[in-house]
Amino acid sequence: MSAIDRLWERLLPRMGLIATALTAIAALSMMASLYLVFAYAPLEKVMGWPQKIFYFHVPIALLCYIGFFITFVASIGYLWSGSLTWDRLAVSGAETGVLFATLMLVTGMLWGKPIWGAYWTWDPRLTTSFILWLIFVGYLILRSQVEDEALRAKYAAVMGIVGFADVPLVHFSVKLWTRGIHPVIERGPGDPGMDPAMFTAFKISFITILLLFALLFLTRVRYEFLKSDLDHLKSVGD
Amino acid sequence: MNFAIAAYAVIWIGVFGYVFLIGRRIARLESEIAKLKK
Repeated sequence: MSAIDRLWERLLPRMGLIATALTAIAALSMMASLYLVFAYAPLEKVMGWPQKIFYFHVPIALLCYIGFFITFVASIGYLWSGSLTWDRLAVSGAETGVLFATLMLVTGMLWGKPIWGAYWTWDPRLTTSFILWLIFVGYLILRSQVEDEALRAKYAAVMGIVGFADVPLVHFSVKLWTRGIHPVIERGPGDPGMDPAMFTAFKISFITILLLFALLFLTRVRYEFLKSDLDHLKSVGD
Repeated sequence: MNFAIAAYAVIWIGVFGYVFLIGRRIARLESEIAKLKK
């Protein structure tokens, strides 16, 4: 049994408690962030109310990258060790990442309409983000089409590693293609690039989204382990 | 303001919808496992 298997074997019995604690802290953090976003942070002079979308849109985008990064690392782990625990982490990262990528695209569109006058433009950041979403939706479709567990894990691991190559492309697209219209926050050393009250609201919103991500990811991993337990019990029964 | 509210509604519907779906899938698996163990 590898180290990752031992770690999850120790974590799984405590998952109920971890999920309850995460839910409680996320709920408190959510209330605090909504207060900070709508009542504490000042209204941006040029964009007005639609700018409030930024506080959750940006953390959601960053955590979607993290979801796909988990898939990338876990896919390498699977190809390296052959342990299905890595595969379970990979699919959980991908599914949570796809959910967050969907929310990133939709909240971005809802920001774009009042600011740009259109829900969608083929800006480099938007286009590469949409491609990223397509890649990982394809990853989930691929998994649903292969019956054999080991073969499915192998195909998915290759796609998870190759697919992750789009993440740096999305992130640096605003610098690589300077013709884009997606806004960038200009930061400097000791300067967050925004009003201090806005930065406080942003930090708490980031923590809230991070907690929600952790909760969803861990719950999804638990589901994978339960599914494997059920398959094992069925095979013993046969 | 309407767009900001719509965006926040989409986020919470997405997150809680997913929690609900995955919770239902887990409950179904747990009941099947309990049945098989019996």
